[in-house]
Amino acid sequence: MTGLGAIGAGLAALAAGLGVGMIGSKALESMARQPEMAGQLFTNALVLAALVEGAAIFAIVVGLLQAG
Amino acid sequence: MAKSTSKYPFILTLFIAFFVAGTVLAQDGHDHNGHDHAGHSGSDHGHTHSHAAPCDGYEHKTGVRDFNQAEYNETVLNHISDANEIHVVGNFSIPLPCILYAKDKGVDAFLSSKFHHGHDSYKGYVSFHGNVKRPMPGTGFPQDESVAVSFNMDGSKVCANGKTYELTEAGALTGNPGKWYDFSISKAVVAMLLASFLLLFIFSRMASRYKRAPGESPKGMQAVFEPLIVFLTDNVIKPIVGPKYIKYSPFLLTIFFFIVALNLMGLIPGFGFNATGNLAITLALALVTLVVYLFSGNKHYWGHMLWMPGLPVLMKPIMAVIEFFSNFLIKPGTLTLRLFANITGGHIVILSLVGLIFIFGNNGQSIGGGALGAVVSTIFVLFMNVLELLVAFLQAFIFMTLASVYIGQAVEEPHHEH
Repeated sequence: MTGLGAIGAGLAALAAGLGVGMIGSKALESMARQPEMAGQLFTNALVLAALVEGAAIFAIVVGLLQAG
Repeated sequence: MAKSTSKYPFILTLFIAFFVAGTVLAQDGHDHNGHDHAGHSGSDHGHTHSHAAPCDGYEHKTGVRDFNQAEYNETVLNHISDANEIHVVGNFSIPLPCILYAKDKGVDAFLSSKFHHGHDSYKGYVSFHGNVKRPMPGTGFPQDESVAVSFNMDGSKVCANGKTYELTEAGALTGNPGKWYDFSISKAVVAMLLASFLLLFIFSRMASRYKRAPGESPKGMQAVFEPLIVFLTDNVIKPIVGPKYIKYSPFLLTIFFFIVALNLMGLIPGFGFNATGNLAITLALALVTLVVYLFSGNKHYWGHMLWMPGLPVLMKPIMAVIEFFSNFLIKPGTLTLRLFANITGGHIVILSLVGLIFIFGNNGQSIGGGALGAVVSTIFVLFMNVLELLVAFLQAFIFMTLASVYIGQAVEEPHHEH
């Protein structure tokens, strides 16, 4: 079916947004609770966000393979 | 900073001089606009230049035509793939050495300028949009003379002297139908060589200054790199790898700076050095990491992997299988794909946003539309490039962090908790 690749990539973007949003919300909450750890928390949050994005990127690549 | 007797500026100058010389010698001086085989008065190249009737539908597309999405998709894919020449703008491209090996012919080494921007064949090979391909051997494609060729839309067939031949890709992973291998110094290889020279130059200069005057306050390049290296070592490598981090920190820092350099080179417009967007290069980096953490694994590590303590006996074989696949397949696989997909995805988005100019301007036919497209596209592309700058550093940081995690797991000493 045509367009399935685009739907897959859109779902992957949705999943990436959800995942990174959850990480971000928890990170901000922890930074507010303990401001002196803010730097370390930011670094760790960035690393975890990149890992979650990695999974979403796999889905995008599969979507591209289907469409192209 | 006193001028030390460093030989790296000389090597870099030699490198650049080679390129300039090759480029200058390769410009043939006649323009290919509206290339029309029938009216060409040939042989200023000193070799036979046959102009038999081209095949139907294989003529070069020339002139202005409406925007075609499929054609633009192909242009985008051409820009992000590896090529045997550095295509800068229009008809100006920097030729690169082609080193080709065919089972029936042996090694052929020549500059890619012999293909005359893809219009001619050379020694039985052709070049489609900068990539060298070989017409299927044994079908009668002229091997010893240079003939004018034209290609079909997707580059699977070539037409010479009125006959069509099937094109084959270089071997190994494609089943090698044409029985040939491509060992050329392609664009990605040039990118890696440039990045390595740059890093060698920068870090050797810094290291010699540290040796000559230890304890002095940092100046110049040191002031940029020293806080970065100290941050990476103290916050990432030392806590994650553990007490033996000194042995692995050169490797991990090299991985970081090499990937940063390659990613940043991919962002320079015009040259198209898409090195880390090449699956082969990221796979090579991941395999090197795999070798490092496999060979640094101690008995404790292998024992844990194959016979995990603290589990009921029936589950241990299942865990062994899972751990085995995770160590040998999943970890290098995700390292590869994460870097590749992030960088390639970013490049495709940037190229698609630049394509807005062509969409709005209908391939140059509407000037007002082109101007509007340029304004819109510039804003978007600016944002995307800033994001890509962040991604360049972040992905290198992630690769290095994960590599240190895997090495840290491999060299971990037993805790004696049970």
